[in-house]
Amino acid sequence: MNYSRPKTLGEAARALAVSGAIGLAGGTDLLVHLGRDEAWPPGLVDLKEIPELHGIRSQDGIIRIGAATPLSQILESPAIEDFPALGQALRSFAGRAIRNRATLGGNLANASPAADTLPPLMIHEAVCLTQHRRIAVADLAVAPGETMLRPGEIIVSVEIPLPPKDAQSFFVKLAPREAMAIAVVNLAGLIVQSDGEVVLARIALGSVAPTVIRAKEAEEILEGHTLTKDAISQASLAAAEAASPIDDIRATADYRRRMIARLLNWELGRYIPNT
Amino acid sequence: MNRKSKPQTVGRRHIREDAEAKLKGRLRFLPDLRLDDMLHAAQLSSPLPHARILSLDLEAARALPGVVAVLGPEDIPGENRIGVIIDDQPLLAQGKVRYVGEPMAMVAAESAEAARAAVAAIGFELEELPAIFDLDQVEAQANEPIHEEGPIAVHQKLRKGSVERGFADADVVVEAELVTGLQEHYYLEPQGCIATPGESGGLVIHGSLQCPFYVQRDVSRATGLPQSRVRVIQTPTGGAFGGKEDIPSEFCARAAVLALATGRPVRLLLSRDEDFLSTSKRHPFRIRGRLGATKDGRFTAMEVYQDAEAGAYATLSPPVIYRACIQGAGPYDIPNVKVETRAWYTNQVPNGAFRGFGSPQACFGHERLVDLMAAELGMDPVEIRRINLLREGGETCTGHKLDESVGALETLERAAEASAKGAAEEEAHFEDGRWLFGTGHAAMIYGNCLGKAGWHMDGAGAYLQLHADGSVSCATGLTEFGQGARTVVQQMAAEALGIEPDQVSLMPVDTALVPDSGPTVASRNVVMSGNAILNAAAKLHERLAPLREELGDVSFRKLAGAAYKRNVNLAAEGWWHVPELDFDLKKGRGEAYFAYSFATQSARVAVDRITGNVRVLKVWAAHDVGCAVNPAGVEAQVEGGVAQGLGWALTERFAREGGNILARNLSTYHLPTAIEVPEIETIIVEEPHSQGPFGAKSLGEPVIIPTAAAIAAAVSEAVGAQVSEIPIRPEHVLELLERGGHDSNAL
Repeated sequence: MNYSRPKTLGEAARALAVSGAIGLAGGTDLLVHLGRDEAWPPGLVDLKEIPELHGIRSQDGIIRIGAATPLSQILESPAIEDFPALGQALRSFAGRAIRNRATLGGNLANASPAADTLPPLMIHEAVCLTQHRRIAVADLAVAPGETMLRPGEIIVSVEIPLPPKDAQSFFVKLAPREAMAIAVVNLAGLIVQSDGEVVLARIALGSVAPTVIRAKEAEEILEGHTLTKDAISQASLAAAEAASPIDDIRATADYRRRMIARLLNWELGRYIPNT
Repeated sequence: MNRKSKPQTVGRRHIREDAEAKLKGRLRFLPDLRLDDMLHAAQLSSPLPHARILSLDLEAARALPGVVAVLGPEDIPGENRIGVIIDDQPLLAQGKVRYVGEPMAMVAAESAEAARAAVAAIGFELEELPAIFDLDQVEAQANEPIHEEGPIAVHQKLRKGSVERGFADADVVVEAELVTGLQEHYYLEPQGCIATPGESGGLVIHGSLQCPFYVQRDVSRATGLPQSRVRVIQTPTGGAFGGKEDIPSEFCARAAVLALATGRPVRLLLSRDEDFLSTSKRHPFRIRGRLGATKDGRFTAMEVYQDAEAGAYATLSPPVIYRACIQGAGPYDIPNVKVETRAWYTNQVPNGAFRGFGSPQACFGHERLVDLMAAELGMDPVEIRRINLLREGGETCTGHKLDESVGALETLERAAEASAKGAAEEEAHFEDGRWLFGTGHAAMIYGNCLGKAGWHMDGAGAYLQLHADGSVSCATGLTEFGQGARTVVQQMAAEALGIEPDQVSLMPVDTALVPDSGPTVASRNVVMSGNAILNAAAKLHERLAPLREELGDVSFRKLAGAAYKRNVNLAAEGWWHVPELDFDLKKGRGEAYFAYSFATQSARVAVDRITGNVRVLKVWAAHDVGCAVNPAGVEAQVEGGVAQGLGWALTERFAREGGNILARNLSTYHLPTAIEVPEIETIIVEEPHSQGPFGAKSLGEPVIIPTAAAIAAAVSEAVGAQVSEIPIRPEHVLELLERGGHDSNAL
């Protein structure tokens, strides 16, 4: 196996163009699988020394996070304060030792349907930047473990637009235990209310479909209306309806569906205006 | 040191003698050991749960580069048999395979990769047979029995009085059907050993193990070597929990056969996944029980039927079934008791020894019945236990009259009192309306050491060598695998001689150096080693007595020096065995064990009405240990046991599909983390036993026994309906919430 540690994007892209070569960032998922249930690839291209893939910058209402930035570094950055749902997701991500190595770009490229950073990135309509183009985070994963990235294409950074000032957001992770566990359900929501009406609603659901999904029907039920118990209950059921969960070692499909409705119901209920 | 100002090290808190090396990462575990010229072993495992072996072709594998030996069942020089009690298990499958993962052949090669490649090159044909996967199917075994002898591996009965009469006397009768799940030991390092041919035609085995003398016997049996030619050295063992009781004997025997065949050291080391998929688990139980009581809460009869899944071979099902049966009706004084316990064969990995030996399952059974009765009578669960718990002069469920050391009631009172005071603290942190809270209690009885069924091997020895400077070398045959036993042994030896523990050095456990003391199981180390040491120390004191008289009040060091110069024999050998037990094995009547430990644990939980998740807020563990030789060690044992019990109760869902295990490592088998394990308050109760060293009784297993039952009771109280399954799955909790009228749809 050929291991390389390129210093530029160009070198990295050339190394990755070799058939079967895989990009390596934190390695917290990849290295666990390689040598256990997957064969070593012909090439492993370590992306951690490419300068463009590092750092957190804030400019013109957009936060840009380098794809190889370790999650714990994102958590320590003051920029995270504007994205409480993302902060919550990062805090519930594995454990500290893994957060010290795992990267945001790695979590995206891994394309797990249970990826904890995806629901919060999707409610903020975050975008990945590769060498060539911008890809909405929501479009990146096409199937479990598969993305639309082309051979040699590298996620360089992730841009997250600042939410409206009065936005309220949340992230919930339900897992067999509180740390070091893959989600049974993880979901994020964002609500903006103005003059007693929901003007913006975004809901993203993880671990309940082949990829993390937006619950558009649920969002539409909420938008343009007053946030009431009834509306929330309808939206929560619509979200559960949008999911296509499976039975697996962690939970049954039925339980997952019920949890989407119940958790959303509870979380959205916090934002009902005081009358 | 002056005899009159005895150090009294027993009862003082001591830092574990192995703590520093472990904390600094200096200790070398088996996977860290490499010998010159060492070969790597690998095993061919059955891919099918039940099949006839039509052919096995080893030639292609033998021809591969780097392969030194490929052996099948015909190549075993001794007997192709292993097993402690029932002779039903081959070292390598012959004729039939009975579970997925059963070894069929083995390889020794120059590298682990070459060994794996050789395994892949072994040719074989299997004819699949109908298989039995769980207790639902065991009755169907008549079609294609797993073993010719029938579907039941072990059957134990207990009869006291007449349950018919007892239920007739009852005002209220409750019944329950209960289920407990599998559990993986998850010791730190996977199973492993290195077998090395010795110079005189014998073998030296290094292994991560609990019972070196079991290994010695099984290696001897497989190789045909006399036991004296098989030397077994225990390497530091990072937890075992019963998982390294009999299982290492298999691996050591296979490595031994390969070492003899090749004339070179052979290492057999499982990966974590292999270990998870192919080694023993805790027996899952189905329990049906009935409990009768008078209106004022006095028990009149308890009837319990326990069905356990043995897996493909009996292995240690006999002692598991014996203990589950004997303790099946709990620590109560009940005039009429019937318990019937059976272990059934299935086409699964054999279930075996696991901390508690069936006791946590049995405890879940009797404690759920007691809570059901309390609910039925509208009685406080503490009060109903207070009425019925054993007291001095009372009779156990086997009719054993207890004249001493019955701390059951004190453990109940202290756990109940502490849990009543400390319960409210954390509740403020939980959101209004979403969480329900409950406290539960569970009591247990634990028969110390092996009991009547294992009496023939319930003896232990100790060697003490007093040196001229007053220090002591001490060798005992029971092992350390994380319990903190060596520290306690050191303290007891120091106490017995009236010196400081740092003057006592413990020998490594090596069958060439230490007395055969039987297996290190059944929480017997402290009791057995302690008594053997006291016996040896008494001999030394007797030999020193004349000199002591002559020299008067001198230090122990001077005394030892003087004795040395007079050629006094300063090497003493001690022995102790469990007193004879008057017990009828057929009826389960009489003295099942020589002494009993008691405990009550209380748990406080919060239940999430939305998700059905359970969080344990605090556990109070009151244990009657007779004498806490090292109170810090008692606390450490309690904390470890409670954490393990919590995992079994809540997070450790063991997924299987047919004969395949789906969970295989920490990402799919959820051990509790530090977040799930709450504050644990240890309450030490000391009701000394006259036969225990310094009054001490067993502790290592009792610590896990009541935990799951206490958590189940707490969840039941919180949700207003009775938990009937372990592990308590969120889905089950949601059903219970609905039944208890706490459905969260309204939230």
